Amino acid sequence: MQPLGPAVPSALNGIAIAGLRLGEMRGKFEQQSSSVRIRQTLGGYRIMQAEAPIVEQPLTRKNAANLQEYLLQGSILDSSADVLLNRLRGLCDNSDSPVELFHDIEQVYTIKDQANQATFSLRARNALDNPQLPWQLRYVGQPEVGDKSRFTICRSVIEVGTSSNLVTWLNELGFRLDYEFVAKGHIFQKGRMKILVQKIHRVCQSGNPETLEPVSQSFLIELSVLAPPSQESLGEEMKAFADQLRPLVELEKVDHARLHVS
Amino acid sequence: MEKEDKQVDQAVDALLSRTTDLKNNIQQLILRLENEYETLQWPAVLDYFALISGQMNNLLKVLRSDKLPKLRNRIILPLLVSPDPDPDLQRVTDGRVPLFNHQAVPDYLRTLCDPEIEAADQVILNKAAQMNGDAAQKLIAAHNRICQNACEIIRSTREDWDVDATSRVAPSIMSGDTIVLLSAICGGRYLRGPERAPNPSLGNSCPKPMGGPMGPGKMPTATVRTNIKSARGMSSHPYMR
Repeated sequence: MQPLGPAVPSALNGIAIAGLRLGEMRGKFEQQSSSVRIRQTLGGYRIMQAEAPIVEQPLTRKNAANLQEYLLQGSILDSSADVLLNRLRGLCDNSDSPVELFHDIEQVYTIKDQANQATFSLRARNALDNPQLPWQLRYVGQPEVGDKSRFTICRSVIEVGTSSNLVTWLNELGFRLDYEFVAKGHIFQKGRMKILVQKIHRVCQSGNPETLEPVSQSFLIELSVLAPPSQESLGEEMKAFADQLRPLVELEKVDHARLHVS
Repeated sequence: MEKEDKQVDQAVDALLSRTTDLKNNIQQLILRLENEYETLQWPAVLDYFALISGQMNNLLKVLRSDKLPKLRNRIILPLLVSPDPDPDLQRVTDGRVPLFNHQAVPDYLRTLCDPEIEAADQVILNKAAQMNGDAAQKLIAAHNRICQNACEIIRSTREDWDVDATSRVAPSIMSGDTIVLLSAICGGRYLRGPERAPNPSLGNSCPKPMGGPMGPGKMPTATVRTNIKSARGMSSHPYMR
């Protein structure tokens, strides 16, 4: 569990990068966060912390929880997914307990900076199979591919658990829903690595998360670790694990710049 | 007589040092297998195996050497068999043999095989002795022929197996799907409007090679569905509570 205290200010720092008026936001955020609880990471980690008092900390860059997400991604066709799930179940921790499932909706909200037309987005996520769980607000930074000596891509991630009126709050701040999708799948854990095997669905009828349509015939697989920056051994650990899944699935560092070209 | 005793001492010392090396290596391997099974790599294990096999050879070389006095002419005479635990013995054997009692003696001082094994061995030897030369030659030839055939079959089908193995796993990945999925969740592509992800037919059993760039021209134009509103323009969120 990451400590609850710095999480809220660090989320605010992430927003501050986008050039919002910080003072105003902070007031609103703290109003909301009276019932804030932490939901550890995305994808149905059902570990929750009892309500804890929010620790007041001055909003400086120094005390921001500076965590990087080390990430490898890949996909596998539906027909072979069962083989992969079995293999993951054997390889990962807690192989004797049933596999943990999740069924989440993720909505991406963006806001435009009037001055330089830059957009900034935040991701709100909620579990559809268990709506009582806290919502999750996430800022995801630009991924860095790095050179060949680095095995994974690396991006800064700031996450915070919120109360259920997160969406209202985002709308009041001026954020607008850009797109949404439903992720359904399995989550595995191996040491500090997290493996998500998920099916991405588009929501055909906005507002009705029952009307789903798979985006592709493949499951998306993400192998990630949340850790402080510059941990070189981590990359090798992740690469070793990814190698164990070959040739069933090729987990690699996908250059996200390629996504926006096509 | 004294000279022979010295020789025996030397030989036993040599054997002891070889077996200690061997024992240490096996112990190290077991230790690593038990404690580092998560990080232990196959090459390291194979190195250990190679080392152990080399030391076995060394030990056998010592046993076979001409200088070695005939150890089989010597006997061990157990003077004392005791049902009480013996701390000295325990120390010498690293705790494997705590006491030298009537149960342990036959196992450790045995010079012949188990009577059952000897009986089984004897049956085979008798059978071999009864067979005449011609029949034996024929059997050997038949045996060699069968082995050769088996080798031939394995060799000729190995290529097929390799091809099978690769073709069985190849369809588990559809190239480009990772990009499709990631551009959906990271950039909202295929999620906003009527645009659909490229959907190749299911019967396509030979996926394209990995890593090919996906040009925009490859996207099939999607059938227009007018009932889907673009989510971009919505001002309020549908799941407000």
